[in-house]
Amino acid sequence: MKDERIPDQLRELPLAKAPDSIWTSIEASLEASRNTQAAPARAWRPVWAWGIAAVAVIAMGVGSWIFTRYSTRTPKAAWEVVRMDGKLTEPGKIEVGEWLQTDASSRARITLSDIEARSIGTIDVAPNTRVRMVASRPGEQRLRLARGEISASVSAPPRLFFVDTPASTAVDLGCAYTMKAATDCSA
Amino acid sequence: MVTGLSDREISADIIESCRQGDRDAFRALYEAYKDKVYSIALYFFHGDESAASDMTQQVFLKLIHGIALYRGEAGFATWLYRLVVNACMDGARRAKPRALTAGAAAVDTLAEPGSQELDFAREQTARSVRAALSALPVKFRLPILLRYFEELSYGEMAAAMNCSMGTVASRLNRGHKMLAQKLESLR
Repeated sequence: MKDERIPDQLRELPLAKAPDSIWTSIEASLEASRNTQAAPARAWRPVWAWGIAAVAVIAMGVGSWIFTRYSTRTPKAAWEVVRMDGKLTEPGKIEVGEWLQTDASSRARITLSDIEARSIGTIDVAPNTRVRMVASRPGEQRLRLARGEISASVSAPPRLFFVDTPASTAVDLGCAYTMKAATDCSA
Repeated sequence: MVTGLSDREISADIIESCRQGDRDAFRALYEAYKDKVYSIALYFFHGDESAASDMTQQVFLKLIHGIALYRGEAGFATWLYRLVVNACMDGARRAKPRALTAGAAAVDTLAEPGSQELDFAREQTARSVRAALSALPVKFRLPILLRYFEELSYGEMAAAMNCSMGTVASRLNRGHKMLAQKLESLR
């Protein structure tokens, strides 16, 4: 079969480098699901097995709901989000893997907390900014600044809080600072 | 840890290790394919780094969770790029990313490590190609990305896109012509 000529310019496009934060997010997701992950799936199961599995899933769902509704011993990793200016359509919390995005007229404040819900600082999110909670676990609190500006004031021990930008990763040593990230890799 | 493997070096042993839940084997697979998967996503989603990161993470999580179902009937790369194609199509259907506020401007540039050192003319050409690629309809954009970044055969592309080789050839042909037309002024 005859191949068509690829336009010359297409050959000059660079292969983009995947940010390191992707693997961090994958590891965080795997860690989070490790306890609830089922045994390796098999290619085929008889119909009755699916019935039992469905009942088990429903039972697990009900159990999980009851557990999360009444148990306070294992807090879910999340940072509090409050509005400063403008409006947030879903204020409250940002969890691992979720994005927080401000428009031109909005600002928000994120209260950082560790895995045991102890406050370790605040981050003020400027207008037109997009951030993501990448990881929250013992020894690592990680935020991704995709674009815009944040002002952080962190009281956590050094090397606990990290900010990934398109250009680099900032390691917090316990201070207050402002970071900007542009889509052209400058940060 | 095994890193830096090329596509051709992904062995049955590594895939079997992944089936057994070996985290280092997963990391090796990730390192071998991350930049290609991320690049496809980046160009597919018009240079939106956030969407590309999300899609790359999603693809590798699906790979990790589903590798027990991979039985080697198709090539590993074909199976992986089927996940990529499905994720791209899902992403295209979800018009907007989940965000706490509305009104985000689309990101229209790509991050290129070291782009400051590139000469102006090459950068201008790359921008034009990105814009032309982004302007292609999804069904023409995907095969071109698979062909250019992965150098997949028509058969592999047909398997990844779940269509016939004739359809692949037709879409590539039309896609190349549309691209060439848009880029003619640069030649």
